[in-house]
Amino acid sequence: MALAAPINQPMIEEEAEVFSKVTAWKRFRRHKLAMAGVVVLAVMVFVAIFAWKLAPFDPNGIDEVHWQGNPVPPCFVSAAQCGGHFLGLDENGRDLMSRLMFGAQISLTVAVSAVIMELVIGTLLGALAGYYGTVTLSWKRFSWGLAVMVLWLAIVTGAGAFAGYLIARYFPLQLHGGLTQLIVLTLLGAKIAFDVVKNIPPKSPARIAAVTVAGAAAGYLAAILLPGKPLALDVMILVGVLYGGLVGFQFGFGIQRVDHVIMRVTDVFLSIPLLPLLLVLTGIVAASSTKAALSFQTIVLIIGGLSWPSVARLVRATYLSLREREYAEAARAVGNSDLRIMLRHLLPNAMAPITVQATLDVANVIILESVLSFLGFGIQPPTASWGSMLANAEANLQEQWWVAVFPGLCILVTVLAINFIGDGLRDALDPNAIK
Amino acid sequence: MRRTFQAVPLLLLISMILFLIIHNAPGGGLGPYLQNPHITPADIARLKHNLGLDKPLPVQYVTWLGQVLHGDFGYSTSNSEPVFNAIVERLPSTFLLMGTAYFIAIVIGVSAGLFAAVRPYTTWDYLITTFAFFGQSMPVFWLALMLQLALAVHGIPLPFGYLLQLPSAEISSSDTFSLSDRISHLILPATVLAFLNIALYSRFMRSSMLEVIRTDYMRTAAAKGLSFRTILFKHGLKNAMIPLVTVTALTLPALFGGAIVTESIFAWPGEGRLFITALGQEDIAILLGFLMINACLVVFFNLFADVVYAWLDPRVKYE
Repeated sequence: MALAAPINQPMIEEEAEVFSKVTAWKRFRRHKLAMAGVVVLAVMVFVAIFAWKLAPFDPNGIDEVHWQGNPVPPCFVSAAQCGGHFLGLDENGRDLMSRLMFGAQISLTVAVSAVIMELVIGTLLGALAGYYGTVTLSWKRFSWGLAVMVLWLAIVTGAGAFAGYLIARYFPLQLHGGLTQLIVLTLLGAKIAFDVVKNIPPKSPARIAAVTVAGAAAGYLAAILLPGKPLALDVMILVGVLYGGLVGFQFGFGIQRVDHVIMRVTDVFLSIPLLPLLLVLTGIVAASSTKAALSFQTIVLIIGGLSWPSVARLVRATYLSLREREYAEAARAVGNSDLRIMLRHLLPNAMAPITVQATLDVANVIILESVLSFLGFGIQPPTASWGSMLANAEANLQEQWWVAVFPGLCILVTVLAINFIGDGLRDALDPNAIK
Repeated sequence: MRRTFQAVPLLLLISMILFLIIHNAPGGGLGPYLQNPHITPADIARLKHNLGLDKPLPVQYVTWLGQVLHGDFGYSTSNSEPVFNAIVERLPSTFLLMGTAYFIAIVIGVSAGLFAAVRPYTTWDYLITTFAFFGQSMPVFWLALMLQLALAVHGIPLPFGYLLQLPSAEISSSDTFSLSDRISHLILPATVLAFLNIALYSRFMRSSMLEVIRTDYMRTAAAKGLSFRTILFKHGLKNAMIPLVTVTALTLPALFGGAIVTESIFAWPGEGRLFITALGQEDIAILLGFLMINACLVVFFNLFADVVYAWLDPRVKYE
């Protein structure tokens, strides 16, 4: 060890300089458009979170005084005359500005939740495929590893989530600000919880307690987000289906390469055009009962459940190279389990490309959701999302241009901001970026 | 060759997954009948039996696969014509739209990217890059609405919607054919559809060209004393465009999605509209056929792009 230290020392320092968060931030700050994007997005998120406080009117309420069936155009100058409707009324006499604010809430929440879901599935499958890569695993080792993983997931998240669900049933939380607020709080909480857990030594009782509490909190939130059924059940069913599918494929085709199985499924979903598939699925859900069944949660599940393949492919490619690094080998030599190496040693190093992809995907999902809603198979009226506000705009385009212009402008500005941020992140996080 | 064989199990897998997803539809594809009060449960049972919907799913799948191999993809439940015919009948107008969009996107995208690449980090470059970002961030349907609005406000009589104002079946009849009419109807939807890809291609072309400009063979060509124009077009463009083959193939699924939106806004009688109509009528045979045929096209074009790529770039070899 004493011999190796002086040789390794300078190399580590050099790497630390290239990859440190500070230099990445410095490089990001130099990207002016990305910084502008951050500001714009921050404003949008702020408006979305505090829509219930900022919106001057009820987004679904009709202004009986000013709405006589005639279009009420935007009145920036003499707002007092038209009852404070800066951006006018929509085709049903509802305040356009308030609807835009609440629409921001729905559109952004759908996008962020769907991307989180896509990241979880995509990273998990991509990591499995990339880590085991072209290694031919023995059947026993493969199924054992997966079983441990599934059990771990089911016990930690499942049990915690179920407990959280029970708590939520007896102490329901009255939601004031809506879903976006909840999501932001959840992310913040998760970040804090992660930082706390990170500093507790593994396998100590405190660690187990912390993980269980985090699981319970997650379950509590999930129970509020998805009322009716414990989320744990859904998660366990999903995991079970995935696991069953993988084992089934292995058994059926006699392939002993996880990589093959996962990548074939990925190929399938990358070959089917996404938008028609989404439309068919939402159409099926809509036909199953009423269109009202197309709730916010369903849209998130469908979009998130179908857009993971690109993430899986990216994570796989990253893992294929990362697992050959010295630190991965060192971790293996010390006797870490595969799962631990995958999640604790390789994942942090794969975060840069994943972050960039996730940012760009948020932008894509905002557009996808708006297209679905525009065609009538997304968020259903009277709930406002930027897409659903445009659904009826086409018919009254000439009389009420503002109904068509402003929601689309919101989409464009937000998506543009996110794309700039993604570009800035790519430049900042990629140490080999040519400038 | 090996990749061609790999496509077969891939397509089988696609068909299996699509079939499973679609046949989870409640009402088992008889949605419109179930809502009709004049149809008794006995009728439904008879219909189910006649259509083979009472058999177990694997049997139905094999039956459907047989129909696919016979080239009819089953029968549409809403107008009982073979699905394949219904789709193929509308394919030409969709291909016309998509082909024009591809053409516009490649011409404008490549020239814009090239233009930006030869003067990097200048105002022009930043302008083009920013414009590309706008293109990428623009919701296609909103762009269509805005164009519609702008044209209406300025009173420009560019026809909006309806290919020749005729049902699709009569497109091919030659006596109504008029080139100027066709172009004037095509220009708006094709531009809208091309918008996203113009952005993608110009960004891609710019970075690809910048890479090529730095290569040794470009320097050699310059050292030989060739003119800038010759270097750029004969040596640079040819090499920079090779990766574009893959990119055009990769953007195909998104283009199909975009075609659905564009066709439904511009009332273009293509397969996108057929799809939306079928979605409203829960005509699962059409939906399944549409997804399957599109997936086949995507797989085929990916394969095709790989082959062309290897042919254009001898450095690439597939094992």
